[in-house]
Amino acid sequence: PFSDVVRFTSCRGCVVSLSTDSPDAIRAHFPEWRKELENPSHYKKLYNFSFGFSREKGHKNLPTEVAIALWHLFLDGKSPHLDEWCKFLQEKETKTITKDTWSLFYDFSMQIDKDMSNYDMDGAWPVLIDEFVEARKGGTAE
Amino acid sequence: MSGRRTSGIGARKLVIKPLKTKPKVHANLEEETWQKVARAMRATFAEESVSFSREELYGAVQDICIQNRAASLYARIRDECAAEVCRKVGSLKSASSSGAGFLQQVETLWSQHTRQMASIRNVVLYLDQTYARTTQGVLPLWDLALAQFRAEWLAASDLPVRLVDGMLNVIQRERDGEAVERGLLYSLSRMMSALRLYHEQFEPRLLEATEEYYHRESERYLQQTEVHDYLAHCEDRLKAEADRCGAYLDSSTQRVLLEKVENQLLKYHCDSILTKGFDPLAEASRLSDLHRTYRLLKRVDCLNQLMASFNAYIRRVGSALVNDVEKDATMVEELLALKDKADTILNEAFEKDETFSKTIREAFETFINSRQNKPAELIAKFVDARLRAGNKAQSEDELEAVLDKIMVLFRFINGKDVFEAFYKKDLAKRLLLSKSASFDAEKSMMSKLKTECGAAFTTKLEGMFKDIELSKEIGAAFRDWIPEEQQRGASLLSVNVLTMSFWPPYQPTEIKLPKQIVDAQDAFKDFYLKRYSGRRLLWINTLGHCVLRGRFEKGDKEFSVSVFQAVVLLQFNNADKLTYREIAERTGIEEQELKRTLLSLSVAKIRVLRKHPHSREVGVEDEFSFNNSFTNRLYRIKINNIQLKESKEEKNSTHQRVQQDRQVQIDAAVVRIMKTRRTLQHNQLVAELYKQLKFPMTPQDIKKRIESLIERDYLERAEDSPGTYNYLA
Repeated sequence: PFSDVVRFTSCRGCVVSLSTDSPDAIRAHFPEWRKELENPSHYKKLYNFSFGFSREKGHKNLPTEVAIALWHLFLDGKSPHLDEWCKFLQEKETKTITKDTWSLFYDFSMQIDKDMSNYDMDGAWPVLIDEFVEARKGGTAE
Repeated sequence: MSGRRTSGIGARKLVIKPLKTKPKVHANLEEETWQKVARAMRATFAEESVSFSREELYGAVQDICIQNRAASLYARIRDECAAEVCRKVGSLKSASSSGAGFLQQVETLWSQHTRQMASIRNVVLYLDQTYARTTQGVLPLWDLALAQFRAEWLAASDLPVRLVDGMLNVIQRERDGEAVERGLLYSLSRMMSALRLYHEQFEPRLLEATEEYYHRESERYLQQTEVHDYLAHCEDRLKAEADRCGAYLDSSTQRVLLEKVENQLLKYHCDSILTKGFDPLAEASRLSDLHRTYRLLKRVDCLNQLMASFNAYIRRVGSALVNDVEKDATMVEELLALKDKADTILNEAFEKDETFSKTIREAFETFINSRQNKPAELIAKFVDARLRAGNKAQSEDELEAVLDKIMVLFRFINGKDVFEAFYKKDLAKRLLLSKSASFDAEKSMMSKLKTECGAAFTTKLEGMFKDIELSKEIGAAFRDWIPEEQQRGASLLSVNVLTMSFWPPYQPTEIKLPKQIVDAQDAFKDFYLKRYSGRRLLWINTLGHCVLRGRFEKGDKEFSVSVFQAVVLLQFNNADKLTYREIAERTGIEEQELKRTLLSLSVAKIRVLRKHPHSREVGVEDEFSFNNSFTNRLYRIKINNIQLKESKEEKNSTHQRVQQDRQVQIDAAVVRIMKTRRTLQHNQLVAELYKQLKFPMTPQDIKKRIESLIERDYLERAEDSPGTYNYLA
């Protein structure tokens, strides 16, 4: 629906007065927008925005299944941890994901190596990610 | 000598004229004198008597010196001595080489020679003093004797070695337990000193032999003996060696020698001594052995190792004590005993050494906190038991002493808030059920807590006491206020009004009280709110208790019961038999509580009710009947011990409360800190929290609270740096 697309645009700070309502006109902007997405800080902004966007009205957090779907959308191929993370969440039967966890998972994906050797357990990472790392580290040690 | 003299008037002048001719020096005087001296010397050396008188000899020598012929006389004396020394030493070379005999021979020779030389010196004393002592490059006779002997001795192939060998051999035999000729060794030792051979030839080999000897001994002994015996043996050995040094060795040897012995016996084996022997000694509190250990290890500068063993022992025993869940009931007594034991050892075996005292504290602090929460809870319970009435254990002084010791333990605990929660709860019970043994004891304990926990905690406790006091006054005023007709109702009720913030949290519970009680409660409420406006009163019936009179076949009895028990019992005024469901409905009491109450009245010691079936559990189909044939040797009977006993749920809920309270404190602290600092990195925030909060926290605990605060929009992460937090106003 158009209303969604308009909101989408305004989040990127792109002042596009979309007075037109023709799908073709909007589609014409696509190449330009695709290029914007290659900018990592814009990508991150989009990623963070999508959390609030996807929430149910009146709810603070995002149901885990929705979060997983979104994660695949955004981070497939970009995060070395994605599959294990989703598996971990399902095993743990986590019901919802907080905004903080959502946001930090992006940083986690970008900064932390696949073998998690540069992860600081006493750092500022959310507890859920700590638990993930601990579970995975325990697994690889076996 | 000639000289002129003048004297006074009338004195005759006395003139002395010089000799016209010089007296002829006896041409052979020198030769004659020498012959005399030589004969005297030889006789002395031969231990024969001398034919001339001493004075004659002395005078003759003197004459020679006066004639300035001292030098040649000296030379001849010197040569004569040299020959004698050569002869003497030579005789030794061919002497028997066996130990004691040889030593004796040397000693005899030496003492002879010294005696003889002294004698000769006395004869030619004038020469010695006027010539020998004053002329450069000429040795006084005594020194000459020594030098000659020394030179001859050193040149005498293996004699020096044999002498030292012999002496060392004797020393070893003495060390092995034989009685030896100490006098002989003493003389030889002095001889070597005189000849400047003691430090050069004897002492080094003595030290080496000593090292070797004790090295072997220590290896052997350590394996074969118990540590405490070994240490006693070491002490004996050290004493013996010191004695030996005093008896026949040079005083300069003592320090070095003892050091070698100490090293071999103690220092190099310090670790195995302590590993093998410390724990059993500590376990059995063998104070004199421990003291010996301290003294001996102090000599070899190994006190740090001893301290480490002490520390490890305390930690091991203490940790086992604290972490053994089966032994919770006796944990506190055993901790007190352990502390007493450690202190006794400190005072009586370790000479009140300050570093050891510190190590005790450090060990206690480590192991007591190896188990969270439980020690604090048990200590609170211990204190409660001591402060309760009916505690027959002790006098006032004893109680005071025990409480002081408890505070020492308490000081080591990190999570003091757990203790505070339990202490407060127990104090509340004591106050509300009038169970305090002694007001003075309570006050004394409070002042101790004030010192440890700060005034914030004890202010609340003091508030609790005040509430009780005040309630008494209010109760009296209430009774005065009630009009005559209603007096009986009012006298039913005795109310404690508790200021909520001082006391542990209590929840009101469901219960259908009899009309009398409700009326009395309402009357009180009216009275109170008239007196103190703007307040709210909540009845906490779980804390109440009452006295019921029961009429039985065999006589009346009075029962001291809880409100719940009373309400249940009162139902049987209207029926002899009731089902569980009926009771539940009529009393409105919640299931678990009701079951517990019914059990206490029908299945425990005092069975005022009969339970059908008579099982240990209350089922919803059970029936209860009034036990008309109830008897008891007492008239007034207590059944309200339910309130005094703490259930497991109660304990858990107290622990939970403490944990929740800690979370709240962390939240508050984070907000406080962030409000001031506005922006902080994660580690800085954590560091600040550890500084401000006094209970144990894990990094995870803190992180969880931070996340919670982020979710509630108190904080946010900085956009480009997620490890930094910003305060959100």
